[in-house]
Amino acid sequence: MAGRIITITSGKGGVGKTTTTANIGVGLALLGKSVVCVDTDIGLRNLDLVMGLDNRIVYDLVDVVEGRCRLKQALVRDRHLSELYLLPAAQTRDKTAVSAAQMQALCDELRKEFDFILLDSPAGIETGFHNALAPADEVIIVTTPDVSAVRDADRAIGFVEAQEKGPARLVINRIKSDLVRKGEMLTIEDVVELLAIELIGIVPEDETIIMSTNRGTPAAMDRKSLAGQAFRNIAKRLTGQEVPFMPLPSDDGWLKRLTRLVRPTSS
Amino acid sequence: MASPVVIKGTSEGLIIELGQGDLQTILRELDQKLGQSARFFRGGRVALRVGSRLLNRDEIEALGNVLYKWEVTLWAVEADLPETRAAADSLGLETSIRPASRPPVVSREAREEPSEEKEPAGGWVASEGLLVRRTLRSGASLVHRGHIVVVGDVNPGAEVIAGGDIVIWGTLRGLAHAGAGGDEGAVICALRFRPEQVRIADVVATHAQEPGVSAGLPHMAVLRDGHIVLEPWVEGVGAAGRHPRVVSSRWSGFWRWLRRR
Repeated sequence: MAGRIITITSGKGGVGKTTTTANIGVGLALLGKSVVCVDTDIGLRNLDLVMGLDNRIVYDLVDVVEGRCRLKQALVRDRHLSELYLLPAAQTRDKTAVSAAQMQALCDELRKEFDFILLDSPAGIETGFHNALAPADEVIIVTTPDVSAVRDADRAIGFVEAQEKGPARLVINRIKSDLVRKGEMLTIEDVVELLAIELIGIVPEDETIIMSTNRGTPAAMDRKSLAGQAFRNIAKRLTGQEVPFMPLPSDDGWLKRLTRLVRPTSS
Repeated sequence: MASPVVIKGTSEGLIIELGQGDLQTILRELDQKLGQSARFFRGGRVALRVGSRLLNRDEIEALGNVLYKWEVTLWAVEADLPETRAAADSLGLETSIRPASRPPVVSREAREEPSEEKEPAGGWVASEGLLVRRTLRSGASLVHRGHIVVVGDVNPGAEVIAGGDIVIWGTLRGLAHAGAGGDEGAVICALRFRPEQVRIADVVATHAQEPGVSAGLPHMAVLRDGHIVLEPWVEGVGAAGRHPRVVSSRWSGFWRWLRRR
């Protein structure tokens, strides 16, 4: 068994790389795949919080690389899904603690044990980003539909292409359909036209994400969460299933929707 | 893993071949290798053979700086990609290890006239062309002393700087500077014109939204009376207005159809 190493990156910070990693991890595990989410953001550990595993960490990625523990000892099993694991980053070190070659060696070890190895990349285009990119078989670029995030995503794609890491695929996160409709936000078509890479997911802005992050239970676990549904769809597409993109939610209240039904021309 | 830096002694002198891997690793490796036998390399001249690697000016300079640190001079960069060759050329480096015989792949670069004498480093000559067949993403910088043709888009945060004209067979969303050496007759053409900024010679124009322009029609920017003006490229007429108009194109289609019966 040889697992697929997928790096999740963005260029810009705060667009939802960590949330995307955790939720795609959950989505793949729900499909019965064995998954490990690796936090490569050494010094700025976050993925453990989003997955709700922060109080179970004993060893971390740097401990493994520096030989203070075996790889298996550092893996933290998810509370709900038995096939989902986390390899946490060290919080007390920085990006220089690990080299690209060490990341490669580590991922080659993980590849033997898991179907999917998801690498949550740090923001920026410096050492940490390059270390997370080095072992990648596939790349997922996360962006939000605003000009600064898209420009940074474009830069990140440039690096991915220069290192011939195969075609990167795109997740557009935090789409606000009311703003798109008003023309105040870039549309999906705008973003895809500019970045010119394959779209693999559209995730609507959803307040269940904030709640689920604070609770440490990724939204993909929640059957009712719209964003969770979008992330589960991404996981399905990664396994080769054809899943149509779901329609964007209408943010209007029920009254407005009712009036639109009664008088279709009014809006 | 094979070392990404291989140093070879050949009849043309020392050649450093760069393999796969990211540039940071290569810079470190190169630094290490030179350091191991610093006395052997000191005062020498080397050529880089980079293969299909894409390097811009800054990256070639970074390589040159590592060499310079060990008192080694970089004199040539041999590359498969015309873009990398152009970047090396703009730094005043040779692009072929055998200076007398240029590699035959150069024939893809269109030349208006065979120029025997090369301009020194930094000189702008609008007689050579560079064709780039990819989209320039944010952070990409393409600098060439002659004309530049991009088959692809120029995205926001990318820049194209040419001594001559710039033609973009795609959407211009970034920065384009034509006639960078002062040629006021240089033009910028694009299929869709939505740049952050265009410059011709010393004149700078930030892009104003015009209805026809935002509609995504091909346009040409030229310098007229000290201002950059944007002219729509009309089918059959062209921006210059010299081409004969096709008479009754609707009917010609009909006649063709009739003749096929």
